[in-house]
Amino acid sequence: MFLNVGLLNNKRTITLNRNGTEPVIVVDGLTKVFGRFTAVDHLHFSVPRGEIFGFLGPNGAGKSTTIRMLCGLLSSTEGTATVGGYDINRDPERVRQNIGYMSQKFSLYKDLTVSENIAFFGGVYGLARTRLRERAAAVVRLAGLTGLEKRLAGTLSGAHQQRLALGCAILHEPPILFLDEPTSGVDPISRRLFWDLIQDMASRGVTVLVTTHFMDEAEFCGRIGFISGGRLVALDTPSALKRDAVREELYEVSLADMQGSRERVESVPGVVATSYFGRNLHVFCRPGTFTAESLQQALVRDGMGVQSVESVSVSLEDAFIRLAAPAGKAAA
Amino acid sequence: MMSRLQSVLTKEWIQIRRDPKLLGILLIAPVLQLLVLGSAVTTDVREVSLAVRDNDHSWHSREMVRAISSSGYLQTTMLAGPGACDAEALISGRAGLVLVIPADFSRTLLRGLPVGVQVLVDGADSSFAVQGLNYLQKALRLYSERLARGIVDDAVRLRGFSPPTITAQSRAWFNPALDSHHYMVPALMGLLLMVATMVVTSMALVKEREEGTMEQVIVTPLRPSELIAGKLLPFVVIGFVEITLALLVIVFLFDVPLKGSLLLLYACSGLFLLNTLGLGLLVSTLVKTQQQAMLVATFFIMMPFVLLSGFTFPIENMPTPIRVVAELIPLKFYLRIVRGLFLKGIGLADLWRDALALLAWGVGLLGLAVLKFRKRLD
Repeated sequence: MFLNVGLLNNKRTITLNRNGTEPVIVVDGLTKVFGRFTAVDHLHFSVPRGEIFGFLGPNGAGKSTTIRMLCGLLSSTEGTATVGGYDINRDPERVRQNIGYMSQKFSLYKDLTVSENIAFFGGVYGLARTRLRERAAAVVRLAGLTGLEKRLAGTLSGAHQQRLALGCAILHEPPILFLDEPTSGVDPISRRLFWDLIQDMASRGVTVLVTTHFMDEAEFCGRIGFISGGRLVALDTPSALKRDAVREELYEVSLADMQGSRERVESVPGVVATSYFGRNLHVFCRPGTFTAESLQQALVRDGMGVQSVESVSVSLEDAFIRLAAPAGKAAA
Repeated sequence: MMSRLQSVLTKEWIQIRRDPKLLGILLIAPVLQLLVLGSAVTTDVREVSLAVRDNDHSWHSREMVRAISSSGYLQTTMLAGPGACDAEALISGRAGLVLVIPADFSRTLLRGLPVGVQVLVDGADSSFAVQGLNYLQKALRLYSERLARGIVDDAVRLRGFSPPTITAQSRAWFNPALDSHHYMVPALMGLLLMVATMVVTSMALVKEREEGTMEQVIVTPLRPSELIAGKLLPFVVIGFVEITLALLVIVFLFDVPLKGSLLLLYACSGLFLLNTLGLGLLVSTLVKTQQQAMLVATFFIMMPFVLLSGFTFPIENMPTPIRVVAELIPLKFYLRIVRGLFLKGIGLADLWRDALALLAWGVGLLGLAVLKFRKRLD
């Protein structure tokens, strides 16, 4: 049994872990300060075995810095974490035995072929020759790189590079995987294939911590930690986040003239925030202030040409945008 | 663990082989440079052009000029026209030296009195001027000795009188022809070896950081010592190949014989490689980009090393504080060993101090670099 902390909603500050299995990643007050900039600010969370834990947040929120600390790439300024039961500061080498890591940028050797990259990383992970041969074949098959073994990694397509990087990260069959924006720059079909692999591994007990900017990918995660300004501002399952992360009511407003109208809508009393949604505007309103009709009337009163107002349910993207808003506005 | 080191070595080897530019820089450039620079680096001054203004126009003045030009070191041209042209010849660089023979040259000479000639020297190129002046003075001395001998011969024949004379019969050991190639070319080998191995090493680790591959390597259980050994060993091999190629060029193309032991030369070169690789590694732990590595290696290491190691300027002539620094430069020890082995054929008894200094520096530099290397990104 373990506890985790959802900072957003006081009612849910303490929740039981769903699986009830032992936590594999425990982050305890992890902090990273670069000069005068606090990139990661006292993070607390834990991830049970076999969970896909998604890390969401705007660029520069501290997602990569957190992953890098957990992998032992960066030292922590304060706080600590255990990964696979080993302390990241005291026992970084033990941690490294148990993790696979894929960085944002393609970081394999571009001037080595697919098999040479696999052989190198297999070798430095200390795989014996026969096991390496087995794993290399398995990884090539898994990553769909059959027939491309002799190609230089630098000449592969983005999707192939990404699958090769994943392959090299799981050569030693680590029980824990850290994936930092693994699918940036990859086409939707390849992304889906990639997530099939991730989900398959998770179903076999691999714990995955992944950062992403894609909302459809976030839906695949067991739980999502939302990080903004180095702080964890929400932590829950995707459906709970959609339900609870945004406490305002959401309306989709279609205006005749969008030009400059966003500021005018936001100045209407009771409207908390707006965001563009396609050709329309998503308007977050203080709960109980408006109905679709009364909002439309309020806007028309203000001289705006309103075509339609519709009450809509909060999507993960809406939640993301509200959570990423500056602290003052977010606290509605 | 051996297999981890092996993996790094294999990887490095493939990468080096696959980068023809790198191999070119490592193996072909030093040899080509040795060939070109080896023929260029010489402190010998030959063919100094001498302009002569003969105001006497006598048999004696012409005879003296003929004697000077037959010395072989000075190329003589005659100046005519107004006297202002003398300086013009120096400024335009047509002449390095101007010899002005006074109008009363032969008259004074025939009266048996000492006679002076004026020599204008192009001091803008001081080493050249000094050498040229030496040649001219030597030629003049020879000519005046010849004149004196004529008189003495007459005296001996007529009066049976002989004045005592002392002459220095010099012989240069180790380098009988005093050919500066024998001195400079082996030292140039040391220099090129340093440039090639140090710069490439300094960039090797930085490149991995820049390209992000270091990040992927750090998260593996690979030890820093294994990574560093894997990075440096290929360069040790390349360094020895470089030395071998350079030796062939020096011995067979420049005809500079190796008088000392080949084994000692290789052993000491190995010690020197510890230094260049250690320095390269140290630079790579201090900088963030390959460009910075290049700059630091060039300005803060290569320049002072080349200028202060005694490669061109004798350390003995430097002011004391700079000399103290110069005496400590690893390249100095190696150059002394290499020159000693090539020219004097010294043995272990003569070079062990320098070899020990190289070893100490090498171990120190490498050790420091390994200590400074961290398996972290920050």
